[in-house]
Parts: sequence; structure tokens; C-alpha cells
Amino acid sequence: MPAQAGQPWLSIVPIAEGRSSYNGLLVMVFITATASLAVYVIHRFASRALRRGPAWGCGFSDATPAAQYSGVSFAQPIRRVFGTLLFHARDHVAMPPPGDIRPARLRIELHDLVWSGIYAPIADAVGFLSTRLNRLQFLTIRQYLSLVFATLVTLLLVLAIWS
Amino acid sequence: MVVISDIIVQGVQMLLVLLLAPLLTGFVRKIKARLVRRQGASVFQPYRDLLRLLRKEVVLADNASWLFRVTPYITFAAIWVAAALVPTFATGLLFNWTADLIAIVALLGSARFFLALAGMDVGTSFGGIGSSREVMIAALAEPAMLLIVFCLALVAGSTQLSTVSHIPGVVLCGLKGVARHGAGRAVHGGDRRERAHPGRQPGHAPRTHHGA
Repeated sequence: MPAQAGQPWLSIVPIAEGRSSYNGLLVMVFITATASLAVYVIHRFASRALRRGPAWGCGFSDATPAAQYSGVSFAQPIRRVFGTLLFHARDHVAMPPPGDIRPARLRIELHDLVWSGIYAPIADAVGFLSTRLNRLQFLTIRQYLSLVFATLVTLLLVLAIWS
Repeated sequence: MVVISDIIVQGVQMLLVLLLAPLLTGFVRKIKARLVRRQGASVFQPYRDLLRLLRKEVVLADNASWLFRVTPYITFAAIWVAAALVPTFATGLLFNWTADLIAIVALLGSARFFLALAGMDVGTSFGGIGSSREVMIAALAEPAMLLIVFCLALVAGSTQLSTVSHIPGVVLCGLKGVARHGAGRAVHGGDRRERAHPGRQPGHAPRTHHGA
């Protein structure tokens, strides 16, 4: 068993101490100490000079906010990897020819397959059935009474035959 | 009160892991070169590279914040702590009760998180490309790594690393390789902080993910 077993200060033991235990404060202290040690060693023995220069954007450093990475662009690789199969995600880029003053457009198309595959057919079936059954609301008195009579006879027959 | 020898053992294990990580990198490069019939650089070349890079000055963009300056050290420290928890040369380490296998995966993930943040710090789209690729690889590789962790834990009956290492027949070479490779990558990555952009060198692209 480890040397400090049995000390309850700020440790988390989910199931049993032999299975797993955590102490986040110690891990954070560990990380801070090693980072400070690395900073000290590098600054003291190697170099602590700092030089500022312009940002390098691989030749495309456009400082406008429109050229920065947004959430949509950050998620683009994941969308392409997972979304192509699971959500039928497609990117449509409309790039006007040079000289045209229209802006370029990016359109992202996503389909919820669970909705369109499971929920929507059930909803459509319920709608279809209710539209057909809605005719029951527009019958005459004679048709209603016939309906009641036929239902009664059917149920009595069922009762008689079943028992 | 902790025994002094326990502290010394933990410290020596951490130092050994740190000092031997570039050797593993050099060994892998040598084998890769020999497999394509090249001579390849010496196995100690990463040490020379590191010494050369450490002596360089830091170059920061004009609009880079404190996060960009701090990220290499945090990444290095997080991965070094994760490597220090893996019982590479000694089991029963002093602080192995503070974190288990799942927390090690989380430490590597938090190092990757800071790397992705630093990529977007300057605001150029090139850094954004690097960060979005980094998190895409994370979304693919970290569930795989967690599955391996769970397999190990199922076999050993616990996620505590010292317990796992005591089970006979459990092959820890893969996990140790992950920890060492992660530590080597952190040492390399931390000493490329002087690059003004946080993206990858083109040749580093296949090695960006913490695969198993």
C-alpha cells in the first residue's frame, strides 16, 4: 500500500483505495512545481531573451475578424469526419468569379437522421390515420346510430364466441 | 512522514524518464531510416537538437498573450507528471495514489487542450487550422486510448497503476511507450516555443496524436 494511505485530506476514493484514488490538489501542485522548475532551468541556464515580431499566418495574415477561426470553422474537421456519415453533412461553397462583387457563400447542410428516419415516419403515419379518421366527425345522425348499433352487435358477438 | 528514499526514488524515476525520452525518439528515427535503406542520424541526435533549440531566444507575435508564453511549460509539465506516474523503473512510487490510469489520459488530454488554445491565441487562420486538426485527432484517438485503459483495468481489476503493474502477464510496454513518447514529444514541443506560429512542422504531422 502507498505510504500515505489512510489520510483523508482532499483525496477522492470512489470505490476502494486499492482500485483507484485521486487527489487533484496534489496533481496540480505537481504540475505547477514541474512547470516552475522547467521555467527556472531554462531561463537560468539557456536563454531568457524574448523578441516580438509580426504574427506569421503562412502568408495569409489578414487581421480582420472575418478571417479568424470561428466555431463553425473550428468544427469543420470533426464535421467532415463524423458528420458526413452520421448527419449527411455537406459543405456547399459558392465562389463567384473574380471581378464579381457578390460575396462568397458557405452553406452547411445537416440532416438529423434519427428524426427523419424514426420520428418523422411515425408522425406522418399518425397524421395520415387521423386525417382519414376525421371523416367520423362529419357523419349524419343516421350514420352515427348505425355505427353504434354495429359496434354493439360486434362486441356482443365477440363476447359470445370468446367465452 | 514520508521516507526520504521514497522521494529520491520518485525523483530519480522522473529524471530517468525525462532523460531517456529523446533516446527513444532517436532510436525510432534510426530504425525508420534503416528500414528505407538510409543511414539515419545517430540515436543521440535528438539530444543535440534539444540543446541547440534550448539556447535560442523566444520569438513571440505582437499580439500573442501570456497564454502563448505559458503553454509550452504547462504542456511539458502535464506530460512529465503523467510520465512520472507510470511505474517505468520502480513501482510503489510515492504519489501514485494521487492519480490512476484515467487521470493520466486526462493529463495528456489537458496538455493537448492547452496546445489547441495556444494555436488560436494569435488569431491567424494557420493556427486555427492546427488547433482544429488537433482536436479532431483527439476526438478520434482519445476514446481509443480510454478503451485500452479500460481493457487493462478489466484484466487487472483496478485502475491504480501500481496494482496494474503487479499483475503478471499484463503487458505494460504499450502504456510505457505511450508515456515515454508523450514525454519525448513534450520535450520537443516545449523547445519549439520560439516558433512564431504554434502549428506543426510539416514533417511532424504523423506524430501529433497520442496513439496507442
